[in-house]
Amino acid sequence: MTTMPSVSWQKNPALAWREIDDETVIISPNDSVMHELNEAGSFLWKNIDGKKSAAELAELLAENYEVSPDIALSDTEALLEEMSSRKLVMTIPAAGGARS
Amino acid sequence: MSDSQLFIAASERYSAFSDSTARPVTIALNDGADRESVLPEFGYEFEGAVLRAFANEIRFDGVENQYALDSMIRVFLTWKLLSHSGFLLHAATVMRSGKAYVFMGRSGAGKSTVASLSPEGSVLTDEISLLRRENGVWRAYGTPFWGEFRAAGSNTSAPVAGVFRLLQATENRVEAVRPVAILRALLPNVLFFSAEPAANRRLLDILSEAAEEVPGYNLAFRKNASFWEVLPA
Repeated sequence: MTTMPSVSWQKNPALAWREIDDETVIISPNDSVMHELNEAGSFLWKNIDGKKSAAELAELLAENYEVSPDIALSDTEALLEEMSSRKLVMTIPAAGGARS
Repeated sequence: MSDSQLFIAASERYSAFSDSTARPVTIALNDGADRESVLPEFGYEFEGAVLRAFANEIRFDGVENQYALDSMIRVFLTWKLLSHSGFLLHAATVMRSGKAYVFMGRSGAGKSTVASLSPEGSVLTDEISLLRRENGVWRAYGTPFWGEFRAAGSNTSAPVAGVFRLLQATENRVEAVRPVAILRALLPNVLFFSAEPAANRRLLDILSEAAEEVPGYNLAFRKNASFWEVLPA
């Protein structure tokens, strides 16, 4: 899957989640599967708000975790892809309905 | 299908768990009345049996026997407990020195073994425990639901000493685990039947609170009563 930089990301609204022990635990009610995010994953999760793009999320990650912008971007994209394959997050189609 | 017969049998079976001081609620069992036009607060359907909960009435329809009714009551309870900071857990609960020890695990994990190795009268349930936070304290209750003993639990509760995940081993060993590990262990053992996001969020809040507030342990145990020696007091 390729994502365009301008596409914004949102949490799957069907999920339940909660922070515990600096980790985020996410439950998908339909299959009762539990997903866990580590500290950096939790940071991204908190910032996924239906508005920010991968690049904007990566920028926040770089600022808060002292990683280079390149690494932050590749980590963010990898995590979004992983979360997307587990149906935890989804992209919001750009205006006009174009999808990646 | 005789419903008065089923109703009488159920009334006897659950009598030790009824509360005469509670606000009265009408319970309708297979009475055939049509309430289709009224939207229930909670509904559930399984193999032809239908449960519908309204503000002052709980309706069970198409319930064929006591086992089916027992299942439907469990479903109802999991929903009702959401507003009382509680949940049902596949776990045996044993009382010792006034505290409740909750042993969780799926079938075969050792719940009934633990129960059978505990003194008579100390087992609140060998199958389904009810945990609830009351005035800031987590308490475990017995439930009337049948376990492998085919005996109802006891309508008693006690503050929770700990939640123990059962692991069978050749030696007894207890290890404290972090809240996230307790939550991970709780989830597959929690009884819950709603796919509604809001209900699941509420449940996750309750379970997270339990995981953070109740001491949790992995308990590796040999199949004899010596495991009590390693449990925290």
